[in-house]
Amino acid sequence: MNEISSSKPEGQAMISMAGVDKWYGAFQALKDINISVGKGEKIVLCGPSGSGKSTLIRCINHLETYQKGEIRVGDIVLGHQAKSIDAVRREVGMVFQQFNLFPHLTVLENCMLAPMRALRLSKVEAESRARQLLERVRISEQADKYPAQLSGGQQQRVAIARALCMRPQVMLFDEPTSALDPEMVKEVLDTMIALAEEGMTMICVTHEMGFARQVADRVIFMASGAVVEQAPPAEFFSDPKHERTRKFLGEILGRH
Amino acid sequence: MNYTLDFAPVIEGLPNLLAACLGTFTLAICGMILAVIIGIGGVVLRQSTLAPVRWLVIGFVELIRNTPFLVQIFFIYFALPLIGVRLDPTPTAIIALGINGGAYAIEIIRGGVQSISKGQMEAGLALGLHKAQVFRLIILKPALRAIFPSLTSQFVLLTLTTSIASAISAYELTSVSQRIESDSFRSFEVYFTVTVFYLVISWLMMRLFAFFSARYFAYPVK
Ligand SMILES: Nc1ncnc2c1ncn2[C@@H]1O[C@H](COP(=O)(O)OP(=O)(O)O)[C@@H](O)[C@H]1O
Ligand SMILES: [Mg+2]
Repeated sequence: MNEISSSKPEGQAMISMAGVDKWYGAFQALKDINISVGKGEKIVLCGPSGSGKSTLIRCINHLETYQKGEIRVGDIVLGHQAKSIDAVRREVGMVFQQFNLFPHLTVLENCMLAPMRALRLSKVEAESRARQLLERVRISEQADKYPAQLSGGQQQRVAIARALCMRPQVMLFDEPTSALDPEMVKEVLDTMIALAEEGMTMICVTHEMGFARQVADRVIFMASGAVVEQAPPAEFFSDPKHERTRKFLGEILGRH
Repeated sequence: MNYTLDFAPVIEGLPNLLAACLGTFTLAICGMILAVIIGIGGVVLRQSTLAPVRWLVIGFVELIRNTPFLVQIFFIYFALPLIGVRLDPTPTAIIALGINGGAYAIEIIRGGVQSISKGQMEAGLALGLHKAQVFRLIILKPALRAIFPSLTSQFVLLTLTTSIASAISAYELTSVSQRIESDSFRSFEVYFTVTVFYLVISWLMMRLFAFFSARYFAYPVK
């Protein structure tokens, strides 16, 4: 047993998916997904385009519905009723490839909106929380600017701060650096690394294999809607078990 | 042609005409407010999960956009009293303008809402906001900004449409000028003046919208 697998938490998982199936009409996008993520664990989810990575993490906060199986976040069972969906969304933050900041609100207002409206924090509380988290992603000097006035990397860091303002237990990242110019990738990855070091439970869809090596406790490889292989990064990269994984790694590492 | 211009009756009627301009403004502004309420409300109902509610909105839009405004205003003024709804000309005109403008506003605003990327809705939901909050706090403003030029021209049109309310003798510019014209027979002078007044009113409306837009939509976009 190496250090990484022994660091797997005892007791209850932070996220568990059991036998999850999802169809888009007749097309099955997720096939019998069984994943368990412990508290504080960092997962990198990778796989070819169209393999179902986005669909998988979007099921966790119910941006997509699923037809079969069970998903739990903490001790909440994510059913299909509004109440459990609300509860889960308060615990799960999400960062999107396209940032999705609200263009008509300043950086500060972007961060204050949900805490005030969904958590009913007072304006003062929401603002102090927002400033604190903007500080943490090292962008507090931009608090009064609008999203369109920021670079892509800055926008993505604001998006991370905005999600953190809900004090989530889990953060989901869907290709957070794919829409960025190369010179901005690092600032966002550094922010994510810092978050990981603080003990956040994270599932990151990314093809940044350097990030995976440095941060991930486990790499999960998907293809055609199914989990093909999962292993700690050292093992995943040096000794992939499946042909499809080898092929994928060949393509992705060959590119760099 | 040796028609001699005589603006005396117009000048004499000027206080009346100016007051009538105010009447036109009142009809237009109240009609627009109602139209915006109907427009936004209609867009919300148009997205309802209940199919009959959606059909009702679609039916309303089709009905209003495919019948003449004059008939709509006559319907409210002359037909509704037969089922016990009796309204004065001014409220009738405001309601008719609001309903008519509202039907067009529904389609225009809906286009704006559809132009907002799905990611905005998803980001709002992922942050724990409800659908109605996302619509009100996140989608609505950028959506209105996107279609504001179309909404402006629709509402300038609504402003000019107030003249049709003269058919039920509502207090506005056209009906007052008709009175001055039939008393004085100075058709050219009266309608020349009224044309200028309408131009000024349209221009003022556009300035008003531009002012509002510069205030409300001040945030920068890429
Ligand atoms: N809304 C949708 N309707 C139909 N098919 C979809 C929809 N969203 C995704 N898919 C399909 O589901 C599969 C998985 O998509 P996705 O999860 O986005 O893949 P990934 O994120 O791994 O690139 C793809 O084949 C995609 O075409
Ligand atoms: Mg994807």
